[in-house]
Amino acid sequence: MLFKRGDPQKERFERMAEQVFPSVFGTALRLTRDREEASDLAQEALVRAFEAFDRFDGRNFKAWMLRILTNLYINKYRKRQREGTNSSLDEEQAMEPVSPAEQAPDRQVFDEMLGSEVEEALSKVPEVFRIAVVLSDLEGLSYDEIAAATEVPVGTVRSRIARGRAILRRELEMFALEQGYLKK
Amino acid sequence: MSDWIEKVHALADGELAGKEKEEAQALVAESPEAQNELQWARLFKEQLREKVPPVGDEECWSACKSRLDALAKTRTVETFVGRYAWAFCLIFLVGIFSAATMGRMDRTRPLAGSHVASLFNGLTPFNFSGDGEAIAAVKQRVGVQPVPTGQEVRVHKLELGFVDGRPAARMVIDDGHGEMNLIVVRGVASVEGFNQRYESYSVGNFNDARAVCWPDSGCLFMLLGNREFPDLASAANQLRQGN
Repeated sequence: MLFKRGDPQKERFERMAEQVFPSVFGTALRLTRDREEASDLAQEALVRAFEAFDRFDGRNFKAWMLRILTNLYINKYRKRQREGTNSSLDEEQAMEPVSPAEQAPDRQVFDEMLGSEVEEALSKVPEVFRIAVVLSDLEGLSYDEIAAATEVPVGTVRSRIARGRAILRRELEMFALEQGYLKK
Repeated sequence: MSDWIEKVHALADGELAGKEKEEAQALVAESPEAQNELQWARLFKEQLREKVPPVGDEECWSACKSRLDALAKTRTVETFVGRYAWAFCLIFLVGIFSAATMGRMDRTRPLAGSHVASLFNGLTPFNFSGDGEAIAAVKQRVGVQPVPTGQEVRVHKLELGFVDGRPAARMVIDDGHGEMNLIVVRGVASVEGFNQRYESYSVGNFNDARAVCWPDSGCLFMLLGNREFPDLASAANQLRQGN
């Protein structure tokens, strides 16, 4: 028979991809902050992953998929940046003093908030920090895996995560104060 | 950002080991500020995952599956073509070779005008010492004797070669009434554009000369000269006697 009825490799890939797809699409959405762009990015990442599936080491499929997605996003982003759009991945521009927590965490900040409000606060976190926080806190990737996905040293990942969380915390607190979830 | 804050967050993420982990743990034990930071980090991770769940999108997943299907089909075809490329090439070459061979063997295909022209400038002169030698050389090339034995014709010039891949000979002969060209080409039966008939001959003009043609023994004979068709036909009849 010249053509096989089913491609076992494709079926295997599809099964694995379906399991991690919510993470893939969710990450794409949180990186691009646009549903249409996220859909394009997720599709492109899946196609690239399928083309490179024979090079997958068989360990952590989700981390591998998110690495492809993030790489693709960063490269596209850099291209856009070269083409002259305003958004920037420049870490220095995003640097701002962030102080440590002054008091014990107030669970109320989160308790009163809706998921969409947290998403909105997350979307305000500068790009490089948001990528690190999303991959670490939402997708559970290790620092090594994030370093591989974003092509930076592990020390930079550590710094970005701590800073990203601090920025997000500030955003959430401001939002909670505005909404009256917290009192000054 | 202070190094100790990063360490505390790394501790919360379980990313520290060995001495660094011990240092961070000691810091948390000693400093209320570090304790707060650790609690914040842990609460953050927990609450973020709770508040911001993974996002499914059926439409996007369907689009992805369609693209994967298309890609898999393309890959299957590419694999097939790649695996059997040598066979495709072989079939292609055999096809070309067969078509060329059949074209050569096709005796119904007339000799083109350009090929007739190459009979006058594309053949190689052959030196001979007598008429017999010239006639024997032609017979060897095209496989048929051009002039019957005992005919009173003189061969003034002979050229041999190939036209359109077929063996060919051109002789300049004299039958006592003047010079003519007698051409013999193997594997062809007619000349393109020679559609008129005179007696049993197809006739036509080539440049300023007239010509009569006839097929014989798998060859095309062509007699050209500055004579009228009846005279050429008569000369051809003379030549064919005894052939």
